[in-house]
Amino acid sequence: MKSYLSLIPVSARVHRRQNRMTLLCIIISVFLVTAIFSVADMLIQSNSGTMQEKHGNWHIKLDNIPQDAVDELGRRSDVKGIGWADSFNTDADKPYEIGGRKAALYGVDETYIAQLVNALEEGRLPQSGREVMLSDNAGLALDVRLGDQVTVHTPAGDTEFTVSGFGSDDREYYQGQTYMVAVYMTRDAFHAIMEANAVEEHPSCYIQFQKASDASDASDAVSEIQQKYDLAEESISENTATMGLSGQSRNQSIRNVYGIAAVLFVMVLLAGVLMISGSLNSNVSQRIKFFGMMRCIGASRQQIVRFVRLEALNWCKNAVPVGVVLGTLASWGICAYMHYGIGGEFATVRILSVSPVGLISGVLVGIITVLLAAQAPAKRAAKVSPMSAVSGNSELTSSKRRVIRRKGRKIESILGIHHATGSRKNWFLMTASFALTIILVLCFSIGLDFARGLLPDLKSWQPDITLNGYANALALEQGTKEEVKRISGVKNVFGTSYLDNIAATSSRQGIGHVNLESYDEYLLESAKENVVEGNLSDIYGDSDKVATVYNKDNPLKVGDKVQIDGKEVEITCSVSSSLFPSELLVICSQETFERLTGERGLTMIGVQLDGNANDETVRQISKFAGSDIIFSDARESVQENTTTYMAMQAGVYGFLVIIGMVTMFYIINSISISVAARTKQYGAMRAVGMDSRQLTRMITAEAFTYAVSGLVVGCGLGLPFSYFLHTLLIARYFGTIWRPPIVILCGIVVFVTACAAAAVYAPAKRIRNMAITDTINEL
Amino acid sequence: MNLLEVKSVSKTYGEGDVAVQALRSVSFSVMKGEFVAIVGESGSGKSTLLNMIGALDTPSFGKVYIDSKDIFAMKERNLTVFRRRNIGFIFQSFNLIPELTVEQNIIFPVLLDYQKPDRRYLEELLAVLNLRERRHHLPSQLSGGQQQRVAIGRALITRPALILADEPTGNLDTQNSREVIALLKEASRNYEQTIIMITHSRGIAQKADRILQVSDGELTDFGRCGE
Repeated sequence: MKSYLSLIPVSARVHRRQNRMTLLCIIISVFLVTAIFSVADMLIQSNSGTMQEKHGNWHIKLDNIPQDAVDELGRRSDVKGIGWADSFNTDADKPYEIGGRKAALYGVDETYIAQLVNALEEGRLPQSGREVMLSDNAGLALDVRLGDQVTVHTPAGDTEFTVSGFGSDDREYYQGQTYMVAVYMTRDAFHAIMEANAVEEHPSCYIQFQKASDASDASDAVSEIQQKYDLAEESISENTATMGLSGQSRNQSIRNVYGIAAVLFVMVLLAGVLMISGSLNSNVSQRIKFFGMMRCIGASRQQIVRFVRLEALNWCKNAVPVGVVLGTLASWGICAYMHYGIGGEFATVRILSVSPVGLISGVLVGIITVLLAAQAPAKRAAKVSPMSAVSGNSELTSSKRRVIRRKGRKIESILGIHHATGSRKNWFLMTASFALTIILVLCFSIGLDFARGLLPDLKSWQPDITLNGYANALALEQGTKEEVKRISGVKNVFGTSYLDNIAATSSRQGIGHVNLESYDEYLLESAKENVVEGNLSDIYGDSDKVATVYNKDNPLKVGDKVQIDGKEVEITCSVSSSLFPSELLVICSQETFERLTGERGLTMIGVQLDGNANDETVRQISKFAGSDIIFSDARESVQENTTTYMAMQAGVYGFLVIIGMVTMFYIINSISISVAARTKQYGAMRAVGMDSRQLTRMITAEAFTYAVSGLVVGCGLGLPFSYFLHTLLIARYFGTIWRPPIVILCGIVVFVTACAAAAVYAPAKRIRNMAITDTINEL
Repeated sequence: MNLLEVKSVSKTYGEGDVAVQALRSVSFSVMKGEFVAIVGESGSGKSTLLNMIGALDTPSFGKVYIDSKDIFAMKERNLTVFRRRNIGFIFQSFNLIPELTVEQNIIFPVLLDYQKPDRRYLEELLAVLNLRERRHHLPSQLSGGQQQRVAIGRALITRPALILADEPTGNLDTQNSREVIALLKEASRNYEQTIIMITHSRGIAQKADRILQVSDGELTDFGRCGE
């Protein structure tokens, strides 16, 4: 032995069994951090690819910037590429058409289209003023192939082009619709058309920075460029996809995401510190006599502190690698689940890759949490009096005790409750630990409900394909609905009519007009799940009863009477959401709509497909689209939103499981500490006649005191929180009334009971199996 | 009439080369109301013997009869109840429950039996033990001698037939030691209780009715004092 610290590995070998819990806690902490960071890293890497594919890999966009400034920018060493693009009629509100469809015109240079947005899907980029690249949907909308001739109709005349390729810089927007086609041409060709039509051009300059410097430097460059060329805030915009994923975005919502990530990180860190600290405390309490002996034979307080800290680090030697390996394996499992189980946008997540971020953070956070967690136990060990070496049990020498009041209950239960409530600090921490978990569960469940409300694609009536009258015109016939229904692969079809700004009067003051929407039977049946107040069955058929949408922006309420064209209807029901904007919305049956307005046409036909649907199904439905009817295919976005929600749900529940696990370990540890500290006392109790069942009952009473107080405080605070959040987020926007979450509460009670039972099991068994003579002589 | 009979009790710790024989075929009997002192060197096996008699530990071989009952033939739960009702323990380091007051500590074995304590007997004990004024105090507020008196009260409260004391004066000064021994003798006389006490002190052992010596796990009966 070279120094007193050489005792650490020797002691670790001898006390392998006692150290098991501490090692387990460190492994869990490292495991959690490694798994979380690895999965996050994989997601960011996969998202980075997906986002760049969707939004391009440029970093900033500059509007109204002089050419000389752009030339100067091009000379900067950190700039990798500069591209130009201009667009016109992207809102399809001007009479520019191609093959009978609306045409959105783009004038682009090669750097933009090939390097910055990587738009080309098929063929080649336009090489001359006579060639164009069309968006992918042109195949379906115009039935054209590579090399075909197309004519772009403009008010100033027609221009002939050859199709050189397919692709677009906004695949999501053009994909699945046949109403509008994007036409990409050279800047010269674009300039010629704009000049002929006397349209002013507004080209934008897109800048991509070097990979090495990437977004962090881009962020500095943005400020520098803005200052140097005196650019207005609105003329400079960033690509949130590239800047956000690198953590450099100035965008507020992205910053909020960072905030949430930081909060979760801190919570896991705190939970780790709490768990390891609890375990180390337990370890120290079990070795009071040892530390007393160290002090007796001359160890200074500082040496004891150093000893405990190094001992903790010594555990890291084995626990950190195990935690890192387990965390990596778990991250592979989670990634595999996202890749194969959830799919959608997560299908690109790599499965078997090692994340350096995950590994480094696991190791660092493991060591840091262990060092932080060792602080308090180390100080506690240093405070052990040398007397403890003789008396053994510091608990027994404490004079700060309260007298027990015995009121007819069994003595073992009273003692158990007293053990729990004796130390106010410990009682508070245990109660807080349970309560925190309960509050988080209650609040996160509201968050999930809110997310569900925000994603309309999760509604049961969400169509896969829609046919929509241009500008919400009543352009579709009732018969079309029936025809679509007969197409193979179609599961459900619904139709809705919508008229906005209809002159109306109401029993409620200040209403001069309403927006009227019709629901057919399918929609009425589906809307039953969203009823906030009243009964939807009153509004079926030709009726004088109607519904409205419960929304803070909608002044119409249940009980109001509305007069439309001299005919009075009464609002008897409200629902939480609708297909059209909710302000001043009156929902009625199709029959009532026809009676009130005299209109028979439909604004929208929604189609839900079944498992047999194929490209032919979609093609047949798309045939109903025309110049006044927009065809939209929302299957991909529905799938994406569903997978996003599932991933969010998995993430939220995963986080709650982690917090739950930490709570469970904390409680198990604390009960273990408590029992370890009272081993001698329990031995004496057994010697004077306490049997095993009484002993178990005493430890159970202690554990359940924490559980009950945790439940009371957790539910006492969590339910008002849940109500508050529900009112703030859900009732306000979606109208659903708050109801006590009985199922979640039952789950919480089961979890808390399980935690308490698990916490009792091992210590009670340990003491029961220990010979009475051992427990008396313990320490 | 014999209250306790120890027949050929042996105890071996460990196995093979590391086996240590703590007791070697020990046999003796103790009569009702007798005050017996066990003496011996440290590690001689006297505490092991006391633990066997109190059913805190099990012998490797042999039997122990208390009031003609083979205590090791009983099931664990029955044995616990038997111990609670028939054997009182007094430890060197008192082993009181720090959260309970003097009175609560004394009646603790009765409470474990879900019985109501006999208030008259309790008052009598508190008076005999000179703890009336301290009945609501916690152990941490008492001196060592007072704490040992509480432990004696706890051992007497169930009126056990047998009291086992493991060096009850080990942590006490001379004055307190004398008082504790006097109390034990008085209890033995007044309540007809059999007391078996381990002690290192020859002087204290002399106060007992009979002295047994344990040496290297073997027992020698020195017979009744004064014989």
